[in-house]
Amino acid sequence: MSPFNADSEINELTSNTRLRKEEAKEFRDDGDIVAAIDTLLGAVATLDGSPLAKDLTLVEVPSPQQKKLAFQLADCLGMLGGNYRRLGELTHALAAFVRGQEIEESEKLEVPSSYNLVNAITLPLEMKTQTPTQLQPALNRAVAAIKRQVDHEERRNDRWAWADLAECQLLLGDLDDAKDSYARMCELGNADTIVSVVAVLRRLKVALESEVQASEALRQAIAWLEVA
Amino acid sequence: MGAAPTSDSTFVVILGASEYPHDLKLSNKRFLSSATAIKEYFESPNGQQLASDHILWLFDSPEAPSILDARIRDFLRLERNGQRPRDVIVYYVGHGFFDEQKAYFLALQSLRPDAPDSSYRFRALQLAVKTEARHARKYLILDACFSGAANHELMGVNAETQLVLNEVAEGSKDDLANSGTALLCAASREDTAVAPESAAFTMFSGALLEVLGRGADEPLSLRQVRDLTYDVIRTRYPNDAVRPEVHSPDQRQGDVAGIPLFRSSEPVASGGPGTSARAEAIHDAMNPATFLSNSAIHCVVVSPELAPNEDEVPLVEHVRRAWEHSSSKISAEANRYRQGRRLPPVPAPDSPDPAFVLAELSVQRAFQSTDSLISAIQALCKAELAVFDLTDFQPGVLILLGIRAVARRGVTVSSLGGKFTIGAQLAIPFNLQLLNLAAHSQEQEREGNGLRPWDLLGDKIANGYGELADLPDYLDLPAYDAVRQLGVEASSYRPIRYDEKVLMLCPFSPEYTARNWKRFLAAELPGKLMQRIQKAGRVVAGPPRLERLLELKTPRLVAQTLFESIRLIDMCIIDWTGLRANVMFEAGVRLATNPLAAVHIIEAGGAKPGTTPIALSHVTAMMKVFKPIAYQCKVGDTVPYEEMVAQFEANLKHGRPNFAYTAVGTALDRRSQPAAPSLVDELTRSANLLVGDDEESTGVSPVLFHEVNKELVLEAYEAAAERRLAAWLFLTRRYSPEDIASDPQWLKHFALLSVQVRRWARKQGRKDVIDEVTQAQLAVNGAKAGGEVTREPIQR
Repeated sequence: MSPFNADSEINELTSNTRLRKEEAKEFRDDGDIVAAIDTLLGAVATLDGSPLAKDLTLVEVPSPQQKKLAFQLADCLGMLGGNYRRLGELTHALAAFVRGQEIEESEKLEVPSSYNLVNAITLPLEMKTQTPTQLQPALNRAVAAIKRQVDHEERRNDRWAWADLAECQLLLGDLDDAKDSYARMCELGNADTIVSVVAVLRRLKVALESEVQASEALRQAIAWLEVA
Repeated sequence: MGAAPTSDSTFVVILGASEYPHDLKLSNKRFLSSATAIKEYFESPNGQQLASDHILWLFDSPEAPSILDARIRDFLRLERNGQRPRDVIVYYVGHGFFDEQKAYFLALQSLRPDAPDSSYRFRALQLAVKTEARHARKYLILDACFSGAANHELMGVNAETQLVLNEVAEGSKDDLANSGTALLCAASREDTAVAPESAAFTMFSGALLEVLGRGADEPLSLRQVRDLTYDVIRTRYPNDAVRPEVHSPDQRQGDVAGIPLFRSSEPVASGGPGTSARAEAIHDAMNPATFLSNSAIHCVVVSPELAPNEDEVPLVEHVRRAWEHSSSKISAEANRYRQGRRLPPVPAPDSPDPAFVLAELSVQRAFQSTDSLISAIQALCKAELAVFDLTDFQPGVLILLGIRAVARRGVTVSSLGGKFTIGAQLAIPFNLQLLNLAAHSQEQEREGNGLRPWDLLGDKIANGYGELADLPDYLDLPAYDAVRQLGVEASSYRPIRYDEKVLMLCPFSPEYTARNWKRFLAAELPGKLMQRIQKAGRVVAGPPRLERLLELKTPRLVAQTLFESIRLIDMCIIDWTGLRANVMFEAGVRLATNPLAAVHIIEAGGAKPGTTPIALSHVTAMMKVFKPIAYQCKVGDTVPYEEMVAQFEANLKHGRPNFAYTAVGTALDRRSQPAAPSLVDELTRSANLLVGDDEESTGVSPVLFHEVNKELVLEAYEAAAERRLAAWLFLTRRYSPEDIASDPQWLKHFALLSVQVRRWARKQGRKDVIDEVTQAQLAVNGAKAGGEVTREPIQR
């Protein structure tokens, strides 16, 4: 057996994961959510099985290869959570998001994503296990973290970072800030980005029907994005 | 001191441990590889040539010290073919420590923390050898690290070494006449000094093995071995070098350490398991056998004349160290590049094949003769990786750099020594100002972790491979594309005749322009050429234009125009006066790209041997190879101009391409450098440069101005999708399902492209394409059925 080469391992894993993610997206586009989930579970298992994944969030100084793996793993977990949500399996979805959140929140792993972080906070709203008021501290932390990423770090040109930031600001009632963030997202993204974001907001609006203030903020944001 | 050592009367004990089951943090696989390689040396027909029953291998033995002691005694007591030991060598590699009484212990596998009796007391070993081989000369070689155990807090490494020396001195007090004891000891407290990340051996044993593997006319003494080993250590580990000690306590009967003992008739084959060992030897780049390996990374380091001073480390050693520190990163990136080119992967570290073949090309040897220059050019063409030492911008090095620049789109790193550090000001020749230089000066070594020469070189090499893999137009030197992509019409490649234009590669200094150029060369040469042309019966309107770079009539970038002209213009005159770096680089480009070579000229006294700023012997040799025509800046001296024309006409008449052009053209490595890259690779790379296949996840667009020009982004999306479609269509029409299924690289492309194309087709409402992709997937998976089918086809 050849000695372990971390660089070769991550190159192989990255290439394999990209293929699996593309396949999962295709299943999703085709409405076959179960197959998408199976594909992503396979990808996550492959990543988890790598020696690079051992104690990933506990490693004191992660290697560049571990950081790359962390990005792929968080991305797969986010997609997995999203597909579980489509299937209505919200508990599974939350579990995937929470695991992804743990990776995204590790400063050492430097994962340029906040998708899991935001969804792990907001999914309980859809599950009606939490209210926006209860989630305020978590949303404030998320805003601070994402603002740091877009202000000072490499995500200033990442449309999803601005979308995540806007969503949190919206749920905190900061409609003006949210609009500014959505505006930046629109600059960076395309029509598909807006469609995807509006779908999320609609879902939240349904879940927060009884929360008058939040529901109104969501309505306004949806209206604004639809004409953007 | 008695009879000379022979293989019949030499006995060797090899001791130590690489695994410490009761204290795992001490385990170190380099100890095992070092011991194994030392044993190979003693057994090798090219080494000490000992019979196997003359070697007692106790390395990694789990037995208790008392048992080992008995085994050593038994081994030394027995006669072989009536022969008792006359020379006994004990080699130990592993950890060592001192107990409370400052007695020295060897940490064997039986070591238990806080139980000194579980280790072998050094004094006991000495006693066993001395008792059982009383009449023998005894050589103790200790490659020990003191970091593994306690009680050294109050001592420095030197003090610790001295304690061991004291024990040796004590033990050898009553050695018999004609015997004696000598110790070669390399002790270090730091684990980091034991060996770098990827080295196969410990610092000391790795260097020792290199010395023993070099081959020597006469056997080497222990003292000579020490000196040579230290030389190797100093060059490899300038910051952490640990000086080995030789001690020969009782020299009344002579110095045991001075006895010629260690034989090495020619380089020892491998030096143990692992391929790093092979990288430790520096090969001759001009020997074609250096490039025999099908899969190793061949790295040629081009060295300038004038060896660095004693304290400076030659670039080749920094490159070796870069490999040792960054081999896994370099291999991984090289493999990514090779996978895309369908080349064999770099052998894994445990492969018997070498992963990295390091070869040196010295500029003096390169220019010794035409034949040697051909060999040097071939080496530059074959080497996937080249590292140039541009210190002082020596003329011969720059000619070779110019040749490399147009001969191979590989990875080429250029580095400067002397006093140069990264970021320091430096006058860099015009053609090389865009080079991303490394530095290997002593000052750069002091820049600290991450910025030391081997760090810079390792990063540049690994990143170079990565970029070579991803970027179709990767360049680390100028000129490669500029001499190839001249236009889309055949007329763009038409040679420019000498009755039209003559290219002059020469200095641009005001002095040269005023003295050499205006008054003589530009004034004399065109007229001489016109006379010759007219004499040949051709009608011309006027003399040909004699053009320097400054006179090329185009607004295009200077470098691009220059290199294009160098390739196309039939008559090129290279003026060696002043041996300007730019001119030398351009000369290399010219020799490699134009079959008519060049007419070399020099102002008499302008750069004769001994008159150059630094008298370089390779310049003398270059003059012999290229024979520049000497001209004088003196009115009436017209003969040299006649000679220039005559030489060009001889080249033209001769008709055959010049030797450098032929050498480059025939030595090109077409496996890595085909006429064009694979179409599928080219299309997918081109698509990924427009829209990365990870963009949906990262949310980052590669398109410049994407925030402010949405139409541009849409065009990029469409262009990327079309390239992927084209790649998929080509792949599935050019190759059968069986071809695709049997080739991992095609299969990988096919799998990803199929999904990408079908997603695009769905958005476009192209059911016909969706069906076609699905059918192709079924066919490929069907073809795979005979082999291992890992996934079901995606059914639609």
